[in-house]
Amino acid sequence: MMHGAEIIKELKAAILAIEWEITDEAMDNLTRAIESLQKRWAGKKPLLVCLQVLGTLGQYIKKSRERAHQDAINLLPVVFATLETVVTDDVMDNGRKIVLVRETVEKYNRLKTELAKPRKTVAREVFHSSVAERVREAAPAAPGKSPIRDILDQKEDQAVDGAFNAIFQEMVGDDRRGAPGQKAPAPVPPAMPSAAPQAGPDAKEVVLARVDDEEFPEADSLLDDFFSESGLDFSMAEVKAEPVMRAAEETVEVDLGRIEVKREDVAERGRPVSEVEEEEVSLVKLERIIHAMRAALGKSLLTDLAEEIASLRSQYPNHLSVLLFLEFIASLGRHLDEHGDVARDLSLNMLETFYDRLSHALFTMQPQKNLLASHLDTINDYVTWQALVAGELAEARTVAAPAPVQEMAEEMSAGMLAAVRGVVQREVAELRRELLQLIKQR
Amino acid sequence: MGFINVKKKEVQIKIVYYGPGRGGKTTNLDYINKKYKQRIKTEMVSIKTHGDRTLFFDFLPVDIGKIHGFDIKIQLYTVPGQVKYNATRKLVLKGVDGIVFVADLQRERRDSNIKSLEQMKENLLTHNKDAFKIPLVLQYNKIDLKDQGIPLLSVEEMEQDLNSELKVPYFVGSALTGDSVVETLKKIISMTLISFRKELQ
Repeated sequence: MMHGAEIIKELKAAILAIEWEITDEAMDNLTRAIESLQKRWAGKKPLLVCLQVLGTLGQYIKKSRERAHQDAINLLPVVFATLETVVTDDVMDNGRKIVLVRETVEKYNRLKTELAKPRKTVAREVFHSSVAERVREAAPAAPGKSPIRDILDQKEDQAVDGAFNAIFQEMVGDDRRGAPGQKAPAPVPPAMPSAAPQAGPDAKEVVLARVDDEEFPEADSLLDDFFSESGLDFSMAEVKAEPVMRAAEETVEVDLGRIEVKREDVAERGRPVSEVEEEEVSLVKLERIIHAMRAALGKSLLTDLAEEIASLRSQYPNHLSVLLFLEFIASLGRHLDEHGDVARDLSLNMLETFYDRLSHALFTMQPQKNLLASHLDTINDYVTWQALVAGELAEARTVAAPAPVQEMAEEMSAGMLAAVRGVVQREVAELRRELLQLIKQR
Repeated sequence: MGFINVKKKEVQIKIVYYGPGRGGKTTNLDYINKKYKQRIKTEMVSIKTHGDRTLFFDFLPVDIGKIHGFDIKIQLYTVPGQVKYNATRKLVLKGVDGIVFVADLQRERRDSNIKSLEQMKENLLTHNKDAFKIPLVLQYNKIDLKDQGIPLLSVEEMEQDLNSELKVPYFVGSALTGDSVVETLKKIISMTLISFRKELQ
């Protein structure tokens, strides 16, 4: 007889694949896995309800693809986590399992209501680099409109945008500083990804459409002049030489615990290579706990979270980057444990954001500068979150309000601040070293 | 969506090099940057993983001169090719004015080319742009591998796979040796400027 985890293995793989990327193949796999389980579990209503929700979400995501509401994509693993608990948890009684399923269905119903509302049109806007700005701006929201909801709606883009801009500005800044008297001043880099902010207030947007049958002799002439061969001091050897860009070799290796870089797979740029295998990082349990918390936040999960963090800390005792993220995640966990009703959604989302950043930092093996940006974003977001929570506690006139904030501050000063200080000091030292090297080279 | 600043007499155009991972997008920009270094006068910004793959994007600003008194400022970007970075690709495509799709001629990369192009179309739709309307050029890259006996797709096969519906200009080349790199870039800038023409007159 198959074990519960074995039975849902295919479904789990399909869900994970969709989290990775929405493709036809992944969606078809999901449908197949659901159909197979529906037959197996005929008559088991709680299980069939979960499958039905997964199936409906899958169909919606398949139809909408990248335009699918982010909450629908987020809900998919949450529903699966519930199903997994119901199927694999031998200790939990049936009554509790049914409550768990009901809570999940309720989340699904809320999403349905949300989806039924007209989607707001997001105007082109200047990017804000931190959650802090969003929170401050969203604070005086109209009645009935949740500022937190607005923040979370744009969570994904924001995380990437913030990192983009920070890294981009920093790197271009370095380039400009590093070329005294040699280059003409570099143009002010555009805020990624839109050129709009740099175009200035007098700029007008022009919708460009392909024109196949026209010519523009002035443009062609300009291009011929600019790209002419005459006067070029250039040889192919120069192109084939090692690029002066900030490539991997110029960055500082980060202690990545179990990860091993497969240097032998790194081929010359553009040459045929075998596919590089993705590295395994053991954050699976942490991820599952955090996802499950979204489905049903409870004492046992918070205990699991604390235990898993302790376990990861012991696995990566010298990995300051991991420790830093874990400190923040642990702090959010403690808040949810003590004041789970205050800023619950924001805290859960922050938890997921911090986990994503930790996972991304480990998975992509980011160069030092990117890690620094990610750390600074995280610190900034945490400080903002803390201020928001303190405000909400004060507003609610909770008697215990000062205590948790104070406690958190004390916790920060002990473990977290040590980790922050260590990471920042190390990264600043590395950045200085890189900068000096660049200046020397030029 | 290009930007024209009549007061400053300036036009900003964003060109994105899109395509499957390890197809040669960054190498295209690298070649342009090296060859026209003295004219470009600015540095290329590139952010890599430890495997020398583009993590976020490459960026190369190029001021090509004036048309009708307007400074033409071209911003060249690449997207990360790895499958997992679709959110980044979508983001880089925001505000794009013209696209160079760099496809890999290697036979074993056939599926990757097709999938990447399909994904590009979908990603453009998220920004309300249509691959059939935006200035677009295809580059069939790595023709130099022919001499090494590596199985390559024919131009006809590439056209059938990628360009049978789009029917946009294409170039067969090698970003590594520079074959067709400049021609590709000139073509996409030219196509973009043509659609800007009325605004400049």
